[in-house]
Amino acid sequence: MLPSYYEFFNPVKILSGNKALDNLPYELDQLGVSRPIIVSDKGVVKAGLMKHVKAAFDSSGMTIGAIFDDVPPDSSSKVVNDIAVVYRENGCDAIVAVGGGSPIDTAKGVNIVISENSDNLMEFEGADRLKKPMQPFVVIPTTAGTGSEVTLAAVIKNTEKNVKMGFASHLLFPKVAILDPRMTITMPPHITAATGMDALSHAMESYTCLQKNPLSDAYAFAAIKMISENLPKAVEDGNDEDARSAMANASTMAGAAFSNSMCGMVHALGHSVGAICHIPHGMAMSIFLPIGLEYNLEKTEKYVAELLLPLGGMEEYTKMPEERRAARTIVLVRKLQQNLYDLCGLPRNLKEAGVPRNKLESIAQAAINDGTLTFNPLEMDEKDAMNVLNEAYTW
Amino acid sequence: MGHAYMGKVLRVDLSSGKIQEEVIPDEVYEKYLSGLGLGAYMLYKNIPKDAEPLGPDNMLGFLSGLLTGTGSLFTGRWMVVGKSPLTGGWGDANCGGTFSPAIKRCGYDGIFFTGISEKPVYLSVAKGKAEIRDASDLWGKDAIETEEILLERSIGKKKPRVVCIGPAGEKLSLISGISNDRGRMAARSGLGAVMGSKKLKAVILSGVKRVTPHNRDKMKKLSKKCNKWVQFQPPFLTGPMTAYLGAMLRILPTQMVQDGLLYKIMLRKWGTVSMNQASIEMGDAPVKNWLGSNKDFGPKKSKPVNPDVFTECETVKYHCYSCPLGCGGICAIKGKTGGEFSETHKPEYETVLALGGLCMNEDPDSIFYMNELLNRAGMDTISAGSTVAFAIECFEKALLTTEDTDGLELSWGNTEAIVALLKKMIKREGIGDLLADGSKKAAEKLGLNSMHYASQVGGQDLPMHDGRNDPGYNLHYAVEPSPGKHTIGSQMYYEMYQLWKRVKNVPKFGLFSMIYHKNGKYVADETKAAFGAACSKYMGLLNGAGACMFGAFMGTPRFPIFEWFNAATGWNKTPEEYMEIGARIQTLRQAFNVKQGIKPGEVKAGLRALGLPPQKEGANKGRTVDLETMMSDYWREFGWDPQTGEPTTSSLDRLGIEDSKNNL
Amino acid sequence: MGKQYRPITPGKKWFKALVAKIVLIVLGRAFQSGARHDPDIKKEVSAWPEGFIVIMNVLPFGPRMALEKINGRLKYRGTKYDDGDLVVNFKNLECAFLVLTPQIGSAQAFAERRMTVKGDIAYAMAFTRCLNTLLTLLYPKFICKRLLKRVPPMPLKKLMVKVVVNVIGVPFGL
Repeated sequence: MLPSYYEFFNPVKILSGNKALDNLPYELDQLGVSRPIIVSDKGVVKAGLMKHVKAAFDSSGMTIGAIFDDVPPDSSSKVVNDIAVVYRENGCDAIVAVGGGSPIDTAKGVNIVISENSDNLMEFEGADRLKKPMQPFVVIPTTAGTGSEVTLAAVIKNTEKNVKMGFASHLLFPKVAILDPRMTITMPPHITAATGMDALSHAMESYTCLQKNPLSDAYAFAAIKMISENLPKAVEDGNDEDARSAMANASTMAGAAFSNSMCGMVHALGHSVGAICHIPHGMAMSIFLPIGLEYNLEKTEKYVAELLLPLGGMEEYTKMPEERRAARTIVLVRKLQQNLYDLCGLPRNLKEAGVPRNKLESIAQAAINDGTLTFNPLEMDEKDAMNVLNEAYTW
Repeated sequence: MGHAYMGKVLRVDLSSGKIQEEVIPDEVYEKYLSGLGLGAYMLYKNIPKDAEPLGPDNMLGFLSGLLTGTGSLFTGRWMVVGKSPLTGGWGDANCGGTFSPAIKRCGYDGIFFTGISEKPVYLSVAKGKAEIRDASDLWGKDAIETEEILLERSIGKKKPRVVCIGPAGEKLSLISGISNDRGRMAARSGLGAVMGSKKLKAVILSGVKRVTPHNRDKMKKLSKKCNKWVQFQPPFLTGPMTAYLGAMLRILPTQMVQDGLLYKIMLRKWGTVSMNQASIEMGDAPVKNWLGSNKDFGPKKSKPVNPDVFTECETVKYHCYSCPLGCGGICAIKGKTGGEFSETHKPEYETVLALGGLCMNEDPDSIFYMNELLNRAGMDTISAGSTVAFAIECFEKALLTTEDTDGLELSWGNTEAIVALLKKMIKREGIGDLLADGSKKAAEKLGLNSMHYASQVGGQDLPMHDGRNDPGYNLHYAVEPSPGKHTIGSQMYYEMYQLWKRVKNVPKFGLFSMIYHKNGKYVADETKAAFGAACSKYMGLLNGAGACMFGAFMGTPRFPIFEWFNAATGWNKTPEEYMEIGARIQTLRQAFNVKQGIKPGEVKAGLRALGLPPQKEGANKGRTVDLETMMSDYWREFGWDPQTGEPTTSSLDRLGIEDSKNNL
Repeated sequence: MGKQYRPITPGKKWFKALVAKIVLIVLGRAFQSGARHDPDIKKEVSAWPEGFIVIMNVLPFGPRMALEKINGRLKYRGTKYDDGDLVVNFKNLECAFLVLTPQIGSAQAFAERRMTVKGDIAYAMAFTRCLNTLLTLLYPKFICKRLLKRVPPMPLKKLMVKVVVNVIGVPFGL
């Protein structure tokens, strides 16, 4: 069924697969630039991934304007400004982000500051506040989950006010995203698991939340199938290039889906737990996903039931009578959680994640003020949030 | 030796075959009475720390009550105690029937078993001689067959009395109980499995010893007066009309302090099934594995199990020993069961609701059938029903599929599937093996979030009284050393006991508080904790006496328990002193749990039973129970640690439980 | 003679603009009154800082409506401000008409991106909650069912607030 109205936009060129990274100079050339700054973090360098990026530029005639590899896990406006200074000093003309969610968001911030020629990021907080054309921007993700390579949003901490600023504009889309299996192969199992569940939550929420649409559905559906088939493999054997590649693709598809259809209470709760208890985002997503699906079942049963096909496969789908398909989908998500718990200890509930019980109330308060809740199919007030958190506390 | 009690117990070591008598000092009776208290005293002393419940170190005791055989009324209950394999802590269950006086007639207050026999055996005590006999031919027989065979074998004028286990206990099902008099069950705490683990199939007793109360005339006088109240039986409603009684209790915003005489009248007329419909309507009976409400199982659906249905097929009333009330009965069920069984004990309220509303089962004939099936198997009907409901919910939530259930379509109210599942549980076949140990153990094995669907506390499945309707139940489900029992206390019980009319220092209901707003029930304050503590102490007394709570429901002025105690024993104690004994029994049992590694603070019902999230419709709509506050207040009432629930040294000192301190 | 090409001046949707204007006035006054009488809205507003300005605006140039928190109370300010701490923009008059008449709820409008927000999202969420409460005070249940994800129960107390807001709130701004 079509929604009465929807918007869909995804202008990112995807390069995926074997030696995809080596096409980077060509793509930059197509964008008419030749002195990119590379924005990354220490983890990427430590994992030895930067050498692949540098090697891609060998014999390309291009110059790496600068490599900034000090992005902290919680990117901030100060880092953005620092990078902008480096960018200008070295006469760079494009931005290449290498890393997980934080370097990518930081790079988006840098792009704003440079393109709008301002040093005050705060001016542009909110939706659709950017007007000027942006610098060419390429993303090379090293995790498979956030989907930031195909989203129009960035979250950056304001160091002075100690609040998180959100930016959203179609201008923030990268021009190119490069999914090279080499770049995710070093990811340790527990991060693979958490980010993989993040991608699954993007896909499943996008398929069930208010602005689901035929285009986002197609992306989400395909992503779920790949995740259910490949996530345990990628966690079990990190060197499985096919599984890695599949996860990277799934994550990108899920990202494209949810950035257009938006997500719901799973993200609202996840953001809040992350902010208050500093639980990694993917881990929080994993914990809340089945509970969120269950909460909304009253309205979304049909959609959740449809997801049994990609998640469980044809046999599972046909064997299960129609009225229990939705429930089975949720059971399979939990089975996946259990599987990941057994493989790498990914927490299955808030207690295992180390959330103190007395924080639940403040998490509930924060969750109902999270913007993503608007797109949740059912209403959730503070009491409902509290009940959900109680349920998520133990298995 | 004092009066009323026999002063010794029989100890049987099944490993070595050694049988000996142990004399119990008089002061033990003064401190702990007999029954539950004596059981606590023996078990605390004799079961080592971390004893395996199904191993040789566990001690299984059968006890009579202090007042049994003294000429008092309502005091014929026997008790079985042991470390529970179901909850890992203190386990006890009690039952009416005929076994309590039989223990005393053999000259004992209790019989305690330790060790494990190599082959199946039974204990026979006859003509003052106890011996262990081979029971290989009985192993595998159901409880009623076993009893019939044993009685046939016996000789002598006086009919012997038997307790035994059925196939469920033999197969170590943790929800199995011990049967007496053709299927009356001491069902809870999984002590049938303990008996099964010891390879003890049965105990058969016959004896001629008599109990000598201190003042027989006084006993008679007291009992006569009490009996007058029991015989007060005005004409009452018809069965289906009880539903309206329940609906009234639900709809009215205010409530009157309950007088148990009304309940006595209903019990005498119908038995416990009198509350079938009323309970659903008022919100006392959980429906659909605690998910539903009276809206899901309204008067139309519950009409097939209205009280009259059970008295219509009742051929004879059943009175336990020394009971003038007779809430039991024998029902003819040949027509209802396709000829498979000819009669059964009248199903109890708990059975009807556990196998009925809790599973959304509307077929009354199936309930008679399952009642007899479970009695013969020796399985607890409450836990069995609750576990079936758990399985149905798991099936509905697609945690279990037809592949797991061997093709059974476990949907709500699917009677055929429910019966088939019970049979599998009894035989431990296929999915039945997973479910035969109660919902908690099943959830542990099933994994994922199935624990949320298990209606249990500390391993024991919850009975059919909803703590969201009367938070007192929830409190006792959690704080009772053998958790998950409905026979300890609640606000309703407290009102009916009318303790304030005999005992000082307990909360009073006076003329102006006779009618109160129902909202007050749901505020977790110190009064509720005081209700709870008083109920626990009083129940300790009743279980020490071997008394039935249905007698006690008439209230202390009509049920002279304290006076009986004094007349029977020759002691001269005040009601407060007796309540202190109740406190002592409770504390020792709690100390037993702590010794066995139970963390009382962690024993709580699942979120659903506490009203989290609150129900969206029905009698208990919007209600949540603040259990944690109630628990610590309750522990404070006993002088225990309000955070951990462990008895403090000072509380042990005050009650004179010195020997237990070293273990805490 | 070839066809002549000239710039075209678009017409004016004066009717829809008028309706939007009126509804915004009603909404503004109801908001002011609701913030005084309704406990839920009161609670939300009490968390806003003093001098907080909320604008509802139809792009590109009105009609619009402003609310300001003065002395702990929320006041309807007409078209006094054109920028505030929280600005809810309707992308065009048709969007505004859909939401204000009320044919679609705010959640749907946000989901379909007919409305955008400038400012702190947490305040936007609080404002949306107030708006939803206000809808239950202004409209009968059968309309609210279409607009809201969940229609809260209307106990006697709320019903009285509803009467107050409609009878003296909207006409007199009390």
